[in-house]
Amino acid sequence: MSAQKTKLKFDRLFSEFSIKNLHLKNRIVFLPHYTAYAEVTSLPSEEETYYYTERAKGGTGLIITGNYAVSKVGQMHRTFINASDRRCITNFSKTVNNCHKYGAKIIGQLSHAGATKVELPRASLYAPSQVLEKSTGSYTTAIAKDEIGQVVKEFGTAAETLVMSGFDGVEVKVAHDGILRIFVSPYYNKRNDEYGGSFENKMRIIHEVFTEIRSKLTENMVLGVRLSADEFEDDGFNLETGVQVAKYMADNKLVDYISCDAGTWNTFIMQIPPMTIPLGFGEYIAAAIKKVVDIPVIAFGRINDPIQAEQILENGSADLIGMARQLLCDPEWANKSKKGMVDDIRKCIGCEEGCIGQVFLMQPIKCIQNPAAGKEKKLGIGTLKKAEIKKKIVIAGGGVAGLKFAEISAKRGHEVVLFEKEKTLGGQINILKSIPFRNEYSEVVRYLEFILKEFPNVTIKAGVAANSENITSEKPDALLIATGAVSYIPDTVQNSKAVTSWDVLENKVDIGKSILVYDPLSHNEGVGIVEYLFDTYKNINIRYITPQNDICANAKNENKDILLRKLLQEDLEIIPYYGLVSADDKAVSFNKAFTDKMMTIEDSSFDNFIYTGSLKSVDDLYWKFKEDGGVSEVYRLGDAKAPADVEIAIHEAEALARSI
Amino acid sequence: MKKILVCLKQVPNTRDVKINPENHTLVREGVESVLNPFDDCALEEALKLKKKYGFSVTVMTMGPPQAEKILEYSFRRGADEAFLLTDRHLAGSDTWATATAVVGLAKKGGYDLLFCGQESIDSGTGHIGASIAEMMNIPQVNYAEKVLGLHENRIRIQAKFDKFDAQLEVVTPVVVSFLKKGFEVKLKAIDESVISERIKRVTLADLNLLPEQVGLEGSYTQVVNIDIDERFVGYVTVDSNLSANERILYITTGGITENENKKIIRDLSQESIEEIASLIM
Repeated sequence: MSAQKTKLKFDRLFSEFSIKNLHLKNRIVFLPHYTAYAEVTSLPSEEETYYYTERAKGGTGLIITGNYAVSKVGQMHRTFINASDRRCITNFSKTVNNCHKYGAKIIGQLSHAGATKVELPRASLYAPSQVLEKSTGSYTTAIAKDEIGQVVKEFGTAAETLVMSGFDGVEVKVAHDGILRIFVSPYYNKRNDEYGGSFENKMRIIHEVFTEIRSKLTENMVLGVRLSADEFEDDGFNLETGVQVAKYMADNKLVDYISCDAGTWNTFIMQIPPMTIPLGFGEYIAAAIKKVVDIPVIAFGRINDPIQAEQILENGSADLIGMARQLLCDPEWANKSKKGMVDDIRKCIGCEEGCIGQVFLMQPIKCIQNPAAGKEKKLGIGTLKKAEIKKKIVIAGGGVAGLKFAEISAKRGHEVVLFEKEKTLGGQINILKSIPFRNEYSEVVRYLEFILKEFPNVTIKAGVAANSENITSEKPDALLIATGAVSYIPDTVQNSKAVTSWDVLENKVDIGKSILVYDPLSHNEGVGIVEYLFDTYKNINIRYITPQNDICANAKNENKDILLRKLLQEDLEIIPYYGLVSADDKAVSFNKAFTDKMMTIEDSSFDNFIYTGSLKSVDDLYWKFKEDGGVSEVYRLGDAKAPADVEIAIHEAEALARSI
Repeated sequence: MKKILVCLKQVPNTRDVKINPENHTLVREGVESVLNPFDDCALEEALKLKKKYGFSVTVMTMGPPQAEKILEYSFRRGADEAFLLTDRHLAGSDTWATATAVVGLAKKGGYDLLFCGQESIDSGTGHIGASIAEMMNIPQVNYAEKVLGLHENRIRIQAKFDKFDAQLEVVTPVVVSFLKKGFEVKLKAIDESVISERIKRVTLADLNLLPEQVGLEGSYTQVVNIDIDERFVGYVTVDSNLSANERILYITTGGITENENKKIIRDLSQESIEEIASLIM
């Protein structure tokens, strides 16, 4: 690929727009989300201010912060900001002023947790009726009428905090979580009083909340809604109802804009769509709402590309383009798009490892590709300085770790020489991407490779394996060993059918009908190979055996839904709690955890035996230079240090490269 | 060695169809053009025969100089020879006039097999293949799926009709019109510097045709009005009546059902970009 730059103009995306009297410089919206940056006291933190300011600096037109709880009971967890606390005003004001300084407008989003909490145990799950909250397996508390009145008042009180902090508007969640959507939901709302039954009754609490908030807002402030338009649940409501709700809210002038959303906590993959869901899938939902309302509509749903955004606006499907994860991944999306630098954008791949995968562990939100997310003060825009002493750095290995290290080193002005034994950069990403729906991982490599081409101080020697001779002849001041890892079969396995998942993904194996997969880790690789086999070969059956308690037991929760949704359709037998003891050409033996019970599988009963998830570092060069000397600084990163995730490789590479 | 002629049409990307309200013809300016996918399948079948039997593959298209793009693409796919039939008198030709011009060119080459797409995505008349065959007084096969085999001057073709599939055997020369289907596009590395020079440009005079035989004058049909179907949108819409699971499945597959042999490309790697570019070419 030549380093030619695509220069494009996005006239619609960068046209000005107004929501009521709120003037926006462009159509780009940072969608609200849970950041878990709140302090122990549930007050907004400094991190939060820096986080939003960064997106304003990056050229975003409208920033919607969130998801602020309206009361203590309304918090999903203590890491959610409690906006009823007036002490929030200090840091809220800072965030607002900073965003305004960079020309962005800012709206604060309010919600009451209702039946969706992440804290344990899940006390006080308020819902219209008592039902089983399916995503958590907890029973809800049917809310009393006076408690509804209390919730309505709480929305008003919290809105006052936002007014006093100088926000340009307030948004309320009738979305995937919180108490308001579930009043519309046929599953949650089985009430017989004025809050249940007819459509008008179900909308009553929403009507009351928005009317209450409107009474607290100044004249120029806008009021909007984040609306889940299709619950994607069999006993939930569909888009027809979603559109009806939107129309009701617009017709009754309850809101000034509608921000579209889909899914619930039970259909998490529609709420926060992973890379399995196509980019821009939600356009039809925005378009359906746009058709029936005369107020601005914000599009959503895996938008990460300005060309795609421009097309959505051109199709007339929405007025504004909403993104959360993309701006987490690259806060400068707007500025880069405005300059037409589409290839310079680091695109969100929807992996869900750093963002939602973190906050659901109640850990601050981050991004596997962008180490600066949440650490803007230290690593954000403008913090990367030229190195005081210019060094010659040799990097062995052009996988993710090596490339990221090269990027930061190059930006700091060092001279970089990178050796990669394969002709193609990217290392294990090139193996990974052949698994269905993992293609987007190659964006991680695409971005780094593209950026490196802009630097004359970087030499990439692809197809040349680093060795002690060519490293020494470069006379480096610093050497990074990022030579990755290899998959291997441990000595306990003496079955001649045994292969690794890499062998399968690299097409080195003839696959039969009956396949045994052993996965000691039960992480992403094991489930990936099973998915790959079912996708590639027809009429096969797989016995998946793991000492863990399930398939993908240690993968991030957020991705399990979609994986199991697919795999459980297939001829797959999952055998948990069994650890491999031995394997020869007669049989493979397993031992049940905590017992003496054995399970033996005859060799004749399977065609292939895939031993997955065992990697070891390729670090010979590291030890050689570390022990023999010759280069003053020797480092290692990525899988050469220890086999781990993309996130570890990228984040450690950034930190290390900044220190040299 | 037998000779194949593949008739290609450059069509506007149906996503942004615009109609000139004055004369009800398609506005092609400023609209991205692509190779009609039906024709791409005809080309694919021709190239398979080239590979198997060593036949020569000639492609032709009729249109403004910009139509060269699809001929260049055909070279990259493996075509041997390409004709661009370009003449200002051809503007406004209906299917009859178009077929007249194509026949003028086809007669010059003495082709054994004339391959067309069953229809084009921008007009969908399905007239061209049939008209060429009638004008040349040779057999025709429509709704063809693939060529099954060839023996001397007999060709066996699989065709797909509403309620049955047929295997038809015909004597060459023959016109075969192919249906659209999914296939893997393979591009060859060729000398790009001479690619444009390899295209042979011909005019009406070269084909011994008179201006009044083609263009608006040589046309029998005139489009009185066109209404755009609002269902043509650039995104997947999901039927609310489907069950929740089905709706999710529909979204994850990008609206592609299991029976459709299409490829979903998701990432933005250079390989994929090139692949997408070749598909929409």
